[in-house]
Amino acid sequence: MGGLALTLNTAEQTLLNTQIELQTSSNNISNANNTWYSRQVAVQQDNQPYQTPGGWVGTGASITAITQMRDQYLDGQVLSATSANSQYTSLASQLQSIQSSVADSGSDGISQALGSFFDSWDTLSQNPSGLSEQTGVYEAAQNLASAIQSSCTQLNQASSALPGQINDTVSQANSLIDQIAQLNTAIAQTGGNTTGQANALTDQRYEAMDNLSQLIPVSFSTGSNGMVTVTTAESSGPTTIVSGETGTHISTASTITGGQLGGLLQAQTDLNGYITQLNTFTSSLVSQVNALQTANGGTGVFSATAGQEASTITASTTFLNGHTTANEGPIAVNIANLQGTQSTFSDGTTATLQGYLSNIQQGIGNAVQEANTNASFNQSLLTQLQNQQQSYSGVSMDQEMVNVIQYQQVYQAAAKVVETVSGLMSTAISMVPAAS
Amino acid sequence: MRITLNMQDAQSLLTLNNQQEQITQLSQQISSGQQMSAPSDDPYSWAQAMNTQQGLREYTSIQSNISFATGWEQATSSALSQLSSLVSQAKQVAISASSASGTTESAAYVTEVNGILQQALNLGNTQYNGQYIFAGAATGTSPFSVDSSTGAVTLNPLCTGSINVRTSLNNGSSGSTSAINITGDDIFTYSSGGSTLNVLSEIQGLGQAIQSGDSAAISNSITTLGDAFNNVNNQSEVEGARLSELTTQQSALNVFQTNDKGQLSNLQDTDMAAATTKLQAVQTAFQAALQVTTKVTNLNLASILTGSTG
Repeated sequence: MGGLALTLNTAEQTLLNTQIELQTSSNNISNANNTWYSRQVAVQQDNQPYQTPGGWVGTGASITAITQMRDQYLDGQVLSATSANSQYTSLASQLQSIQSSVADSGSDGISQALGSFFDSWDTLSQNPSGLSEQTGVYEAAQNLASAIQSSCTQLNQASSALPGQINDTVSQANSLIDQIAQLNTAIAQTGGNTTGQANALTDQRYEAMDNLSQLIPVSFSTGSNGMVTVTTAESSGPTTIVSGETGTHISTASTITGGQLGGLLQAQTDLNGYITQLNTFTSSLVSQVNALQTANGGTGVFSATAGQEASTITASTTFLNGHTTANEGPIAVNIANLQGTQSTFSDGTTATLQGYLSNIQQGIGNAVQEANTNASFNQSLLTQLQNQQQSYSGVSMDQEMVNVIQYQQVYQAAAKVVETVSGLMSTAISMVPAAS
Repeated sequence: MRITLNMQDAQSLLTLNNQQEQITQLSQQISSGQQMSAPSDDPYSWAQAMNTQQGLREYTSIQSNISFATGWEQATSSALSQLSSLVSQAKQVAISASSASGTTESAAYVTEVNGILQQALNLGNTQYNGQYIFAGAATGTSPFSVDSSTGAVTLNPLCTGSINVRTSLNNGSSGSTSAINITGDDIFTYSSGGSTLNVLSEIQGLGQAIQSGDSAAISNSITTLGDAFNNVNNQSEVEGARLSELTTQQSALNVFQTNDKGQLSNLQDTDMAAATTKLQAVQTAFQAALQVTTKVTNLNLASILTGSTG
């Protein structure tokens, strides 16, 4: 039989329990704006009762564990949405800067230079031997060549900046992979997450995985020992990057299909495509104009190195030399007529020169628009998933405040029990006659 | 659903960002007057606008060609009408000289014929924009010259070939150009009685015939000069037809140009009324969102508890 001492014990345990609960709430509140934190709950269990003649009497409650409210399914969803979001955001930002090197509003850039070039031949046709008309053609040809070159230079600069960014991303990802493997080890050493000892470590590991998911696609599964196996997506299929205590590094040659790295790799492919298109355009321009200009012999208007036409195109400053008025007039008309003539480009497209240029711009515009749409869709999706995740794992201030009030009242009640029992004990003690 | 601090923050941030983005885009459209600032705003319209712009540029170029050609044809036309009256004047002189009654009178006719020759020669070397219009393709060289010692008139051998400018749109097939010039050969060389003659030589011959009193040659001149007159008039008609064709092309071009300008404006220009209204709506929404964000941030149990106890 427990008697008053047991009641006192039970009340004492209640006081201790509420202190633990208050501390848990306090910990929750202090982590309220930590995105990766999962709220913790002190799990209470009532103690074994003991038998009295009057029946089984309860002996209070004890806190058995402090567990984390973590939903692995939601976590996984958030990570994959994070990857997709950061993939399209990084692709959109890369393409947007490329777009401005390729696109011109039609009143400047390659289109303007191309238009002026054709105009100058029309003017030349009016007076093939006129000095100012000839100068006009020379200047327009130079302008066109330098407009193409400068556009190509900008694309090449963007293209040469990408490998550096890819390297940085890969090394960031690798250091996160190591971090996850280390945290796996630490979590396993605490005996998995069954005791709640590894709560903070689990939060840290989730933070690392979340950061990693911004760089590369991440999906994970948790083993019985609390360690996670992390895989990423390559074009060849899923690749394991963390298995237990071992992290496997990715290389710059990886064909990662998502995350910031996936965005950068996609941007690089797209960028090379635009450079090729610009070369195709330039190659067609050079060959068509030169063929017309050299119909009666003489030198061509442009020269360019095969395969890298756009970066090497230059205009001759003497191509009208040796041409008589009689033969240059019809040539000028033919070259001016080129602007309305469709031709087949080396990539199979049939279009006018301006049409091909517009097409390149439409292509890059579409790519940027698509990346932007995908980025904003995935941003909304991510926010929605994060909301669900927060709804389950996040810290609600209101809830914590209500809990704190509850704990306060329980604490006060338990204190009252102590006070009462103490009074009873005094009474009991005072019943004993004083030794005289 | 449990609502947490992070959730509220993320939601407010997303909403505010989206609205801010819309405001930036709309105000850019309004201030620049352009609907699109990059191809990604509307790739298809952007490409269409680019192509339309190129078309408009070509129209401007062709318009310049048409006005050049019109000037050329007008210069040609006026030279031809003067030449026609000179030839008819020479014929008149020949008729009068056939019944000349003395050397004094003949000498006066000779002087008149020489004057006509000189004027005809000048007309043959008419220039437009610094170019000899009757010199064929070799517009830099004067087509006719007179040997100062012998007085022989020479027709530049290169006085053939055409000057072409584009006066209408090329619809993919080349060869839609027409010559704008009439060569010296066409005007000054003509056939009469089965032989090929030259107007200038004929006038020169008339002068020599009058001087030598060769009446057979003079009466022959009356016939050949009559044929020369007809030839010049025929060329004048060709010229007139060309001028009227240029006018037709010009007005067709104007219609195309107006259409394309309208289309370009539809593609590129901001619909100010719509954009301004939309901007106002978004601004109102943004203000509301800001207000709500501020209000909601203070709306939690902690702040109310603090308020009631303190």
